Amino acid sequence: MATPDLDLVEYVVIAVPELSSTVDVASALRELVESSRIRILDLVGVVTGPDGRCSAIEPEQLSGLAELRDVEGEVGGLLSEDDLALACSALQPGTSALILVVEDRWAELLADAARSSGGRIIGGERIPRHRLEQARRSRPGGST
Amino acid sequence: MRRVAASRRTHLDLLRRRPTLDPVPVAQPGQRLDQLRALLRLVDRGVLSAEEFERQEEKVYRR
Repeated sequence: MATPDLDLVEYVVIAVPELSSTVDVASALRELVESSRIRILDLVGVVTGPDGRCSAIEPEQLSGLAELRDVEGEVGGLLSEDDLALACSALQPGTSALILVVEDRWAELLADAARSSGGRIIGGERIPRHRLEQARRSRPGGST
Repeated sequence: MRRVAASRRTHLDLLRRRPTLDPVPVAQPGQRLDQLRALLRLVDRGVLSAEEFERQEEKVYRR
C-alpha cells in the first residue's frame, strides 16, 4: 500500500445499534475506498458493557464487515489498546461502535494546494451535531 | 484488508484525548419508525395537527 498523506489522517467513531448491523456501513466504506475517496488505515469494533467496560472486536470477527475483506486497506497497525480504551471511555455504557482510522483522500487536492503555497493542513476537528444544532437555534430566526 | 499486526498491545498511542461524541443514543432498529407511525396515528385521529406533527417529527430525528 502506498504511503498515506500524513496530513489527511483522521479517526472516526460510528455508533451502531449492534456490531452485526454494520452491513450498510461496510458497503458504504467499500464504495468510498473503491472510488479513492478514503483509505482505511485501521478499523476495529468496540462494545461497552453496562459497567462501561470496553471490549474490542477485530474486523475479521465481525460478519457485518464481510464486504470489506477483499478491500484494499490495513487493520491492526495503528490504534493501540490504550487508544481503544480512551475512545471507549467517551461512549455510553451499552454502546457498540466502529472506530476507523482513515486517510481522507478526497482532500488530497486541498493538501497539495496548501503545500504548494508553502502551507499545510495542520488540524481540524469534527464539530458535534448537538453543538451545531445549538448554534443554529441561537441565531436570529431560529433553526434556519 | 491486510492485517498489519496481530496485537495492538505494543502500539504507540495515537489519541491524545477522549473524542467529543454526540450524547445522542443510537436509535434501535425500527424505534424511530415506530415513533413516527404512532405520531401519524395521532394525526389521523385528529389529536395532533400537521404543524405539531412536524415539530414532534423533528424531535424524533434529533434524538
